[in-house]
Amino acid sequence: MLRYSLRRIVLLIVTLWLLSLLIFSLNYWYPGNAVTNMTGISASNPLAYQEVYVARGFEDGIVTQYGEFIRHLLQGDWGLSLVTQQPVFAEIKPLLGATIELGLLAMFLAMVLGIPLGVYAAVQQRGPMDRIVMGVSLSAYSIPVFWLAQLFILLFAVKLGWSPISGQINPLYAIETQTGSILIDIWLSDSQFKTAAFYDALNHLWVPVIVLAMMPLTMLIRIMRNAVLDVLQQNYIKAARARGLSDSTIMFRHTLPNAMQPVVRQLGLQFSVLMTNIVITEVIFNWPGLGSWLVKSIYERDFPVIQAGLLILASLILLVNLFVDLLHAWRYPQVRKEIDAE
Amino acid sequence: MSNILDIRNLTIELETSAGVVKVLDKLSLQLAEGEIHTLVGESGSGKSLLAKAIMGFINPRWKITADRLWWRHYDLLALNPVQRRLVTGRDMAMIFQNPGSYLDPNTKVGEQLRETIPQSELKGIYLRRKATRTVRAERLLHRVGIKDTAKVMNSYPQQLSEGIAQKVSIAMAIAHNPKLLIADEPTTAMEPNTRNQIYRLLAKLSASQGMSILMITQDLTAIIPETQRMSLVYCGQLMETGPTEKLMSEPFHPYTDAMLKMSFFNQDVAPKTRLPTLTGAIPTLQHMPIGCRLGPRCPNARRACIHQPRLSKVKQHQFACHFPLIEIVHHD
Amino acid sequence: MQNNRSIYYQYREPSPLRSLWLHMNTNPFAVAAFYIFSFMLLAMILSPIIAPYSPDAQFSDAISQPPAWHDDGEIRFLFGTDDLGRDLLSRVLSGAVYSLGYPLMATAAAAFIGIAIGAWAGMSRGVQSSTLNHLLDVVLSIPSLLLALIIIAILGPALHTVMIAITIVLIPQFIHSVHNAFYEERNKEYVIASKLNGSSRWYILTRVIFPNITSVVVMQVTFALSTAILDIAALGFLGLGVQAPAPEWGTMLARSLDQVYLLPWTMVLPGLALFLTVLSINVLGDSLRAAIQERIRGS
Repeated sequence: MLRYSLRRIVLLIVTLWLLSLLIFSLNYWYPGNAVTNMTGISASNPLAYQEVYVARGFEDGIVTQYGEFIRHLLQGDWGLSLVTQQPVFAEIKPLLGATIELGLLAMFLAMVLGIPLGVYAAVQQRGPMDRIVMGVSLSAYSIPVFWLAQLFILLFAVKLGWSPISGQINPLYAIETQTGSILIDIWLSDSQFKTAAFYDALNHLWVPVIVLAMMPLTMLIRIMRNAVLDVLQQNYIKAARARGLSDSTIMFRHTLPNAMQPVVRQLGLQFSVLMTNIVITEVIFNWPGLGSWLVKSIYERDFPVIQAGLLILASLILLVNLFVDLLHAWRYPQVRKEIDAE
Repeated sequence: MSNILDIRNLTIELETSAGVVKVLDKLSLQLAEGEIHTLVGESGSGKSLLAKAIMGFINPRWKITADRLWWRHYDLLALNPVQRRLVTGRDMAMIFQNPGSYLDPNTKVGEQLRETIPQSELKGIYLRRKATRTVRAERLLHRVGIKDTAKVMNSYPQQLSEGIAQKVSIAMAIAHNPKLLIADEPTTAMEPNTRNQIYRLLAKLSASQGMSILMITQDLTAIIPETQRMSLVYCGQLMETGPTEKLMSEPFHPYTDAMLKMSFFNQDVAPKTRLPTLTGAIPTLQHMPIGCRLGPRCPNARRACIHQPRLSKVKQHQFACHFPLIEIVHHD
Repeated sequence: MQNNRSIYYQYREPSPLRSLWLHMNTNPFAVAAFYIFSFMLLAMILSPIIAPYSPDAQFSDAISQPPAWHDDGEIRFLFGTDDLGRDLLSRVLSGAVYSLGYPLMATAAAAFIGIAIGAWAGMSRGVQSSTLNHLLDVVLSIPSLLLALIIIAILGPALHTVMIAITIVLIPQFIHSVHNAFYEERNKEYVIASKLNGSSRWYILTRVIFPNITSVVVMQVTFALSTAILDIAALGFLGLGVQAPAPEWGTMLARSLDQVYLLPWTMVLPGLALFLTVLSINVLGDSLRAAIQERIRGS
């Protein structure tokens, strides 16, 4: 396990290094001046420009420039936003909090609903409930997330009036942003209307969470169903039955743990899907997260911000994938053997 | 001798893309208590299907009919699935070819052994029961001849060799002292050395516990030496059944005769002569001949063979042939 | 002797692709999806002929007209008009070219390039292969839409940049799946047997391995197609893809977002078209996968 973990971490470092190379190169590919793209300081401010020009190693060759790029990156000096002229790095933390809150809640919802539904569909294979669950999940899987969001807004916000159309919380509550995650911020705040603010935040939260959870949920149902069906066909399940083990023992001790294996393996992929959808969802619901920040920066051609957004989202996905892989290898030891054999 | 397993005219029909096919055709089999019975059949003869039908691994697409499918005093076909699981789980056990694939790959062997120990044999509170389980599991491994129990119990199935894995599955099979052990080609694709170990183990268990064994194998050269009776199956039809020595020395059926001559018991073949084999090949499921299915390949086949012969009985020896070899000898 | 063909029933094992087809035919949903997809394709091809009006024609007398079955609706605008008085049905029909035709082109281009690289990578080993793997890991860890966004940030939003972005984004997925499929097949016994027979690399690549991974390729194509459709629509929706007057479905949906209280019907038709297209492709891909599994299990 240790050997596998080390290998996997080395691989992550290599991957992150390649990512940094990509992002470094992007500075030269974007239209405009590479120094400006990196630091957010334009040539119209000659004094500051000259300073960063030297600091970023532009007097020397490309290798020095890359070294300086990495050094600044690690120091947390990610440049200034071209639009607001604020340091990018400082802006990230609350945005990340908001995005992670939305993403975690959606993933949690998807898992809590998806896994039991998948098992249920598999146990009822070819029965009417199986067909209904699978039909609904395949249809829901095909709904573009932006259309689904629109339909939900039309239904729940406009027609029924159950929830606000967009935003994170009613600004009247004046919750101070600390972590970016609204629920935690409310908890940390010293507002006297904590409970009311909490309900208001939940009221804002549930529609985007459901919209976002839809895609991973449907995927999980389908993967889980197929995995359970697959495991039920395996010899060891038949043998367990022949030994006279009870149905519940077989289900909980043998079928489910084995069926969870492909599901765990898929979680990393599901997270990437979630991150794609979170970008769109945040734009539609005006959620102050990384996704809407990134899209806005593309409209505004704010290159330091684009880079930061890309770097954060991609590293987040890589880290989650590493975590999922380690979890998978730890829980399913025969996988380690396969990987070592490669 | 009392028969604990009594099968009369068992027929299993499968639905395939080419219509309904009888994979087992009126097969009869009796098994006495404590007896080792070897069932010989080439691939596709339906011998594994027979084992599955006895154990109750039944695919809903199969149609099973029988005049009798009795286990002791239970009519297995009349039981509902739950009762049947109870009976087979208590009285029968099965071991398989590729033992590795019959063990859960994600659970340690010890864990799987422990949960096989029947609940009813344990006493005391939770922790005590747990400890008893471990002791019992170790004892089981000792009984199948595994000495390094700690190592085996702490392994995942894919870390074991095939021979050890087969011993482990035998240990699981005998955990609740079954009356019948069905061994479905347990040693195919194993080295002769391992195979003999397994055979010796099975024979010993049978003798010490009075456990009947239905041994399923593919060819006559690899039969367990202690077997008392043998049955030969071809394409789902029973050809001949009888005590081992009788069947080997005086076969009635041309198929048995051919199988014996084909195997290397028969060493007196002159150099450069053709080995005696049946002509042709085993028919596919879609092209089963009518009547006696050996018909097109049988050296003695005549017109009457398009009707399936009934079982004839000579003492303990039964065969299904219109023109048995012994009678031909008598008439000439 | 006319009947001599029917005296004996000859069972013939259908070819892999044919058996897939036969299996798909037994699944009514797959057949329905096939017809819906064909209908969409036909509508796209015939859209210049069957669309009642030009997608850009504005009818100043019929601004924000509800669908025909509504009390205020008119039969000449079956599904109503938008806030500029453009006929929705015509726009959705013409939009099929952007939302289905362009993804098809992007998928075809990506498949061509991706399969070639994937096959090459699958046949090579050692450093080449592992370097490629790590590169692919980086690229695939970035969601396709994000990658497309970055490419558009470099090139600027326009129809041709969207096409380039989507094609580039799809290629790594093709390389990845083809490479993996090759990698799995490469060490199987039948390939080794063919190698021992002295077949050339090219022969092994095209005649020995490739027929055995067709199913993987077909599945990847359906997957890439639905990704391409969704990504192009999503880019249009974000205003970073096909630009406004063009009747791209995602762009139309983005426009309807502001008017969802007043003109809810403007979002139904383009959304439904998008949904049905993606659904039919997903159902097709799903039943293909099921058919392939069935075939593997059957053999």
